[in-house]
Amino acid sequence: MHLHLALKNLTSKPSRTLLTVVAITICMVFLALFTAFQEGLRNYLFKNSLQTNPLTQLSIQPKSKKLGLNPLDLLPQSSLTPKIISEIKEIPHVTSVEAQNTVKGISSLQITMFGQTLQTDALIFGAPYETISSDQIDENIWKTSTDSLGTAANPLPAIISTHLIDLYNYSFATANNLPQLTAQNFIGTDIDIMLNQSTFFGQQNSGLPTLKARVVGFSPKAKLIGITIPSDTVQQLNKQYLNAQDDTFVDAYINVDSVENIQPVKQALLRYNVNISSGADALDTINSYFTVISIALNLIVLIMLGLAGLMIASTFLAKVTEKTREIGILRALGLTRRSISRIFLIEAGIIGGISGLIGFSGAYMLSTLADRIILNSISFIAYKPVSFFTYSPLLLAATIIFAIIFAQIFAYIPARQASKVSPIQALSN
Amino acid sequence: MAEHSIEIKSLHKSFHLGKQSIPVLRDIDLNIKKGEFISIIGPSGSGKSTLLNMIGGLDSATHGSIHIDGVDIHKLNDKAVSKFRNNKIGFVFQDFHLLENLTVEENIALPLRIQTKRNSLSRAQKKAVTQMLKVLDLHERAHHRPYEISGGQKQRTAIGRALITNPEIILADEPTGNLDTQTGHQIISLLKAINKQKGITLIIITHDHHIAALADRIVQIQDGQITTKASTHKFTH
Ligand SMILES: Nc1ncnc2c1ncn2[C@@H]1O[C@H](COP(=O)(O)OP(=O)(O)OP(=O)(O)O)[C@@H](O)[C@H]1O
Ligand SMILES: [Mg+2]
Repeated sequence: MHLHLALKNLTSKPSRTLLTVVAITICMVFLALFTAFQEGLRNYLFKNSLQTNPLTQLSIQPKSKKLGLNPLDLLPQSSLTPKIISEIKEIPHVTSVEAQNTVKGISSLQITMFGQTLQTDALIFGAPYETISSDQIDENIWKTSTDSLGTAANPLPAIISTHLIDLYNYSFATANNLPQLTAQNFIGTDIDIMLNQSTFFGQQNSGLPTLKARVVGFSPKAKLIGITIPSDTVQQLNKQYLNAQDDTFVDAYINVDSVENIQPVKQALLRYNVNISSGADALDTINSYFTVISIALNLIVLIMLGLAGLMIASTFLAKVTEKTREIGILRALGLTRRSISRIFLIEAGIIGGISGLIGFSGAYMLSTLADRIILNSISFIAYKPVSFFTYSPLLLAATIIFAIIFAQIFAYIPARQASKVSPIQALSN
Repeated sequence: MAEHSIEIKSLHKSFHLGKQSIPVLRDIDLNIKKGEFISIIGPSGSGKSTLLNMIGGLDSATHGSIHIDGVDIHKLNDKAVSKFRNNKIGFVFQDFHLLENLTVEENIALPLRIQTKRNSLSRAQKKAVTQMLKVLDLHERAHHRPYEISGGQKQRTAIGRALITNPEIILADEPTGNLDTQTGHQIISLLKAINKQKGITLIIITHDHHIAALADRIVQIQDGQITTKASTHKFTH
């Protein structure tokens, strides 16, 4: 009976019903859109973050002081020696250590693409296979033979930071009018390595051979300012050409058997005077960024909700005034006060539910559009999410339920007022 | 005592306007038998409608009591008094007071929906509504809205709505006030026939002495007090 009367009321003034629906729908579109966006972005960032920094992994770096503007000009405060690395391996709960070394000094790289030759100073890093094993690179390629290393017939396998492609596309390619690259384009590119030589500092190669390397893949774990080759090879190059007997490591990933044991391992690492960061730290950083974004977005939605709420309240107050006579009739026919207010709340609920459903659908369509536009405009970024939004049945249900409750909350006072209408006064005019 | 379906004892009613208290009904004593046809007459503003609404449980007394079938209706809570109205009382108003967004049929069926709290009608209820439409000669207008039918048809719809729950008492406040004389008489004949055939207590407020004269008893109210409780045969004008 309540539903029957509520529906009759809604259909008798369709334009007003529609207007209220539109107002709530707009709110719900933004609510669903923002929530889906926050979810989507969080998922993407978390996924990325966990890929580079799994929760059971710590990464350590020697402390150093920046000397000047050149990012490579660092004064080391501590170092990661092979001795330290082997000590760390003995810390309880540490399952393995992936130490990254580097070729001594600065090297000069020369890459030829599209008939253009790019020469740049860079560092050559070494990584064990374990570090890059999740990046679809064949283990056999990474385990190079030690003889005839870096010749045209047997180039060194090199991987490049995924972020470097973005950087290339964004700055270099655009500036030089070169085609944009995808990760696939890069694979197979040859790189000439001139050890101990710098274009920047005008330092000349002291008769060392030019080594050949070939790009075999990409990894978010590869360092941005250079190329990464197998760590064994780096060690060999250091010994063979640069007169360095011992490896010094630039950083190391420490794998721990479980998340709970991260803390004790961290404690044990403190005595090595190194910077320690963990996946959890990275997530914390993302989370704190997120709090700011969430507050901003939710504030916008809150303001809109406030406005829509006032509109619901005023529409329903007008409705109650307009329906005073009808309320009187219904009371005379035996409807209780509670039933009167329930009819209005059901009306509000229906309006809310419809708005929630339309709002969710609208948000979904808008995000498809937004995805297309955004992804088009950042086509130079090689590794990007498929969508910036995450929708789930849970979000659909939550949006609809929220909209229903929201509309009912703001219709509550008018509904109460309706229940208090005096039937004789209502019937006398 | 049992023979009286309505017992009104020293009923007072005042309305409050700000700090001012306006007495509208003063010391009303009235007993009405089951199946009786009463007409209430009196000048405008004398308190007739107020009395009728109080019998129907739409308003409460300042002092005194109204017992219907032995129950003091002003002691009932909202739920109970609503149920009482739905089951025992049928209102008929001067302004018809139909719901404009419901059809004739839906208006008549409304008290049944309120009674069962259901959105749909049972088969028996549907049959009763159809029957009611036929009796009131409204079956051709069943799916029309109130603004599409005549005044007489509107009042017949209102009567149908009042009768559908088989009430014990029909309270009619100037039911002919908005109708032409002929239609008015038809409506009164209809109400009187219902009163006689079904034994439903009928209380009509009217300004028309011819209509008042049709009743078993006339109650005259002046300044909130009953001045005459005459049988129709004593009534002169
Ligand atoms: N809700 C109210 N508040 C204040 N005064 C009221 C209220 N309802 C009725 N009155 C007053 O009570 C008195 C009686 O009103 P009532 O409607 O009962 O008169 P009536 O006899 O039905 O008149 P009429 O023949 O014009 O319908 C009037 O003076 C009216 O102004
Ligand atoms: Mg009156």
